[in-house]
Amino acid sequence: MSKPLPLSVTNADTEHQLAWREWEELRDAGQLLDATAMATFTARGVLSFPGIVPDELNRAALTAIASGAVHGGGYRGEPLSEFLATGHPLAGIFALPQVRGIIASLVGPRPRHDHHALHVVGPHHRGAQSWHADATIDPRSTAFDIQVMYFPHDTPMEMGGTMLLPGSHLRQIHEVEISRYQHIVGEMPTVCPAGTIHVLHHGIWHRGRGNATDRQRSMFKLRLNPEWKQERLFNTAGHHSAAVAQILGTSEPWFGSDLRLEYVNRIAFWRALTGDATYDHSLWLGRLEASPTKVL
Amino acid sequence: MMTPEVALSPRQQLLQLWLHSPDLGSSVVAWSFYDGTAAQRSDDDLPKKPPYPSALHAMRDGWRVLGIAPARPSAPGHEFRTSFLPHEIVLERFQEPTHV
Repeated sequence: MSKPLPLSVTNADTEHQLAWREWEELRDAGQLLDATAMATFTARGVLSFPGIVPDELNRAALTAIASGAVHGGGYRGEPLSEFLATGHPLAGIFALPQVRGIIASLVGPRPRHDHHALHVVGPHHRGAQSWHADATIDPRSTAFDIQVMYFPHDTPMEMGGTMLLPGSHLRQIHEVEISRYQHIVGEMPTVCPAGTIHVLHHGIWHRGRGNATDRQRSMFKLRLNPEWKQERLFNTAGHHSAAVAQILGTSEPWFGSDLRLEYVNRIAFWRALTGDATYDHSLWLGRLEASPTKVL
Repeated sequence: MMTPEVALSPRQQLLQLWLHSPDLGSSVVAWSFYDGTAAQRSDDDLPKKPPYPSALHAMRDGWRVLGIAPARPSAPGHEFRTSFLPHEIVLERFQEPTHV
């Protein structure tokens, strides 16, 4: 017998109730991200899960890619469940409980499929992309999309992969306007074993690298939009811990004098994700909010 | 067709540095290099260390400052908005071409 629905969902429509049940199942199975993982996403905009996809699914994915059965598409905004139900060759990867838990923690259960793409870089293809962020400038301050990058084979440094810039997700820029930079201290190459998934906030600066090996490089990307308010979607236990404060207070080496602005923005983001409007550390926001109205 | 004088004349190299702060002695956090002496752009996209620890180190190595990003106060209501790297300095030097 299933648990009773919470009062807030009892009278909701069927889709809302289905979403709640899906999220509840992941929560009870311990598949949601914990507070330190979510704080890491808040601070860096990137979470990496090395080898999370089993070899069997990686081999099947490579076979499907080689046969031409995997390509790009989307841009219609249908539910992810509807997209995967069409028999997509990689659907099994996104049905893995751990992957579902990661997605539900970030954009909620039953998210919307934005688009997907298969990025293929042939052997000995020199020349990297310029730094860019996908889509357009995005003024959302708390809501966000995620981009799931799946690497079905080992991706050593010489094979390239994608270069990511952790901590860049809260910056307001438009697409290739950041191509003026060639190298940024702290850039992170996606060197990883087969079956690795990197999950990115939509604002992360990145660029595809060349491929110096004699093998083809493939990466499948899936962009998802939230359908629910992105508040308390993860396992929030310990959201006020010293470990969380340390993560939110850790700089990236390229921040320079913007460092404290980034701290302020991270804390504001964390308040939104946790629903805790009083969260602070080191008084970065509390100091700015100290405007008493009491008259002596 | 280039004359021999043009073919052998020094070519411009540009080095853009983004610094920790407006202090030219502060550390480099990002950089770009454009080489007018080379026939082709480098396709080396490996992560690497900055070419100099600071703009001052580059100047001591012969680079001339072409421009420095101006100081801009934040717009009211957008005091905490971050965007591009703010502390940009552009340097140049002239070198003999590596090709003719």
